[in-house]
Amino acid sequence: MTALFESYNARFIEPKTVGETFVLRDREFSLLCEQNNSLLVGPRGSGKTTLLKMLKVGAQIGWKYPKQAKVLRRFSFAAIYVGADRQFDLVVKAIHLNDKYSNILDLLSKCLLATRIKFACLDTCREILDQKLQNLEFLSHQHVKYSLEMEVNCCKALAKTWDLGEPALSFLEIRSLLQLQLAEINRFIDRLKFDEEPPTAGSLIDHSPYLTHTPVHACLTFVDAFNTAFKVDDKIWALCIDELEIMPASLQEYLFSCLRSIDQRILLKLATSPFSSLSWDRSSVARPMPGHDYTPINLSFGRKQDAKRFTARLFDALLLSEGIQYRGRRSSSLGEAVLGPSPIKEAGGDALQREPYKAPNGEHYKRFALLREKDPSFRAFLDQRHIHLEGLQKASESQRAGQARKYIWPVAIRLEYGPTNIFRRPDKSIASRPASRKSVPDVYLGYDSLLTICEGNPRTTIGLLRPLARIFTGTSKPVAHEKQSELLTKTIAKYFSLLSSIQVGDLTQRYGSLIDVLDDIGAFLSKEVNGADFKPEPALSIKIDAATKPPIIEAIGNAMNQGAFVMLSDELGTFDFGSILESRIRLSYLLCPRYHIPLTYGQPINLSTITQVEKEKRRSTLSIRDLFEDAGMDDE
Amino acid sequence: MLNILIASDLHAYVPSEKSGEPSCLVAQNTNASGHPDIIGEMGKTILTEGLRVDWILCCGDMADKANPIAQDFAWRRLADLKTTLDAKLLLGTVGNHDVDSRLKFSDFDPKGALQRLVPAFPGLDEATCDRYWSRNFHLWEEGNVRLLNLNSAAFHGYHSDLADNAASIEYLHGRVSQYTIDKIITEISSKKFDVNILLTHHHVYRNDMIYDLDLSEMVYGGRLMDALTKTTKSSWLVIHGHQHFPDIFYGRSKVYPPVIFSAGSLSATLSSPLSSLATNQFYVISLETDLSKAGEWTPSGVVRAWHWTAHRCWERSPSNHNIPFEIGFGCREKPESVAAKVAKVVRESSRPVLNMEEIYAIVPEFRYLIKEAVDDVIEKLPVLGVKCTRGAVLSESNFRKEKL
Repeated sequence: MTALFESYNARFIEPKTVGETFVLRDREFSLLCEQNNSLLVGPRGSGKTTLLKMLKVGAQIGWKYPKQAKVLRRFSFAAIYVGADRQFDLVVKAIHLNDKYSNILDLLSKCLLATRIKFACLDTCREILDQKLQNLEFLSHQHVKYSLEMEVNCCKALAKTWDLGEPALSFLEIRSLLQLQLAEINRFIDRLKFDEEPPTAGSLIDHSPYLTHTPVHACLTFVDAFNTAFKVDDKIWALCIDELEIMPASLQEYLFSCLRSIDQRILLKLATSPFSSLSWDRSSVARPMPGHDYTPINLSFGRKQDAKRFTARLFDALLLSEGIQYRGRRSSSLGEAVLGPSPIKEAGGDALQREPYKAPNGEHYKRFALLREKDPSFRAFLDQRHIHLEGLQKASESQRAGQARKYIWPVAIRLEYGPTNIFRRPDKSIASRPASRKSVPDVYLGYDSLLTICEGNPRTTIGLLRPLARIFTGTSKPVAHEKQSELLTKTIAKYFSLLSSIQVGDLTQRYGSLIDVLDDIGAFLSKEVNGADFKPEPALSIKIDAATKPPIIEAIGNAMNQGAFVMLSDELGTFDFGSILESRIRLSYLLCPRYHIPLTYGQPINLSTITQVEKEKRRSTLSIRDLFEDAGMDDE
Repeated sequence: MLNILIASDLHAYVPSEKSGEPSCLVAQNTNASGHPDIIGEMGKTILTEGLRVDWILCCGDMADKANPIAQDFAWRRLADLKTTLDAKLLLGTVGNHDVDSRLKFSDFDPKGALQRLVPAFPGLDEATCDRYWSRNFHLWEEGNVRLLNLNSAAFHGYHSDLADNAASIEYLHGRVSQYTIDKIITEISSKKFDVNILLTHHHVYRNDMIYDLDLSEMVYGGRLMDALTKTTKSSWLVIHGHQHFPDIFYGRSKVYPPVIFSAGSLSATLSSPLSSLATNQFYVISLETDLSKAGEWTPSGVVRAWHWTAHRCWERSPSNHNIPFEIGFGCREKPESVAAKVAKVVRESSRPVLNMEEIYAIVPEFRYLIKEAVDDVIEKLPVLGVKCTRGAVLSESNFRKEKL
């Protein structure tokens, strides 16, 4: 069901392949390369894993673009990359099942991560000791000179400090002994789950002293052993830990607090989703401070233009990988040739948009004039503001900005879904246009709009735009809007099926799953744009105010981790990891076609205001058809 | 050293309502279909590994159920691979799925689609191709290596396919006729070669490793092998496909047991019980052509195997696969004897740890042992005072004295 969004996940991709397919986010990567602690924050699919993996020498070997590879010279720390895996999930579930043994499970989860780190240290060793590095222009500085004696000395030290139980003389032996420890940890977890009288923490530690190893201890002992044995005393290492959000809460707290203080030979680079239910005491002295203890790097795009620019680059790379060659004058020509122009573009330039405000055929003018004709409230608004549509073309740019530009999207959407768009029912009564799920209006389609909808999210971009690129292959015409509409509808339906798994622990029973909350928000925002009266400043963003119920905040936070909401500003202005209380967010543009709202954001409205509105009859509720038929399950 | 890439049993297909998914090789423009480009990935893998390939051999079943479009697609992709790898030779042989035995695509010509392929099938000049089709075999000679390419599906489509028992249905098994054997023997007896290879689709000996009953082996396969070894007075390397069961073993023979290389399928969908025993693989056999290096063990060489993973890429096959990466063949020395030699090297070495290459340099026969023999050697080492730590692939293993 979620295949569209799982079709590209850097977690499953070898570092070298990541390097080959990487589209660099220069600013973020530069920040990450700095010799300090970092906290990488971004929703699902935003490229956290890719960025972290790109710190690995193994990935940098596959770097395609020599010009960009210069950035690799900026740092010489060796990255130790650790991804979370299913085992953490098992521990988290076991903790939920057995409150009684939560202390032991905390111990085991820390030890599990420590063991993963040990394996990752060995992986990094293999990379930086590889002689091939010496001949690679931008990576030779990462190479560490090797001799068998050095390896033997290093392994002897590791065997002792990692409590492997027997001597080891090679990295291979160390790895083999770590596998035994890993198997033993799994046995302990199973005993806690199934034994009637499981062992105590003390007896476990007596039996297996390595259980007391913490993640940082594991890394530190490795750094000691390696730097000494290989005579690189000052070597700096970056411990990169991915997917913090799926680790047990105690481990998240531990790792986050390590940003405050860690050995100076080790940098900590953590990656996580934006929202965490952990309650950080923001005023606590122990809490690491952004800017002081670490650099926060947010992968959500604050500016729409930045997101579009990055999506365009991703799309170009995607087209290239599909064998679609660039023949146009500008790089955007190729993408636009595939998807065709959008009815609404942010900036003019081509023939369609050259004089968009000019009567009688300018694209914007036509829409404004049509709505003026059909919608009395819009007409009244224009009169009230003394906006003369026929004079817009001659108005200055700043005048147009105030009088027309910011209304382009609301006007286009209102024309599609507003109250004046009527149709005649079979019983000859008049009603507003029904909310069609099957077809997406043209304003959401074409190059500009689809790029906006992708939000700079690599996974959405690949999931939505790659099939369109493949339809284009072998043709010379842009992909038809019907096809674009079909794929966008499927994409949204699949995304909803993913979001529907997020539950709201709402005791009032108003909300079962996140979809109920989304539908309320969507309906409210849609009414702001498509309601009876034209609103020049519709509320199109949401403030998470204190009056909102905590279960709803948590559900919204989890949805934000999945990219359903985008942070516009938070309490501290750092776009940091933690609570989302008092932050301002907007719906992801991917959801806008479903709720008939513009691909822009507007004034904030308190979330509690939306959730306290007496429930009206819904336009339509999510049905099994949304989950299966629209998602194209029958095709898969 | 001669490097031979083996791709067997591709089972390419054209998707339709009835086709099912016999393999992951869809006969479509790879860019347009969204299906993995597994043949293109093979090329990338070989180049990444820095390997040179001299020959590409396909052991048959290029397409599933003789679909002509799929056959054309698979053959062209293999020809592209030959170009990518700058190989000297691409040779195919006919599999049961390559012949339109049930006349689904033609009313009268079961092998017509194969004969129309470009480049000409099985991959040589027109005269040699004609010989393959008329005599059911041809010979290829290069240096001191001779390859016999035998069409073991030559009689498919011409025999009673409506017989009431499986043994009588021709397309359910392979066959070499006595006439063909006689002609082969006449041709090969005139010249002597150090290394002899038989390329064919069906297995020459019955294999009961997978199914309780399997009668699909080549009829007269044993008779063929007996005649071949008797004539050349040497062991042959037999490379075949058909069963999708990767294995290397020695065949029966009175004096010169052949090395049997049973290739796994490149891309066919593997179902139970086979799926628990096999993976999709391709191979590069590095065949030792310098007899001074091969010693008394001819034919001998090293096989590199890669398997197709869920991550849609080829990876080196680990040591628990039937044919792992960098496994040898050819040496039939007793494992006890090789273990003793390895143990002596390790015990007497001044180096604290030895890797495989260091061991091979002193005990070269260890390199040419088949998988089961290598496992036996390693199992015997602890009692000889040696600890072996196995790597993910065999060549990454290392050895040291048990007591430090």
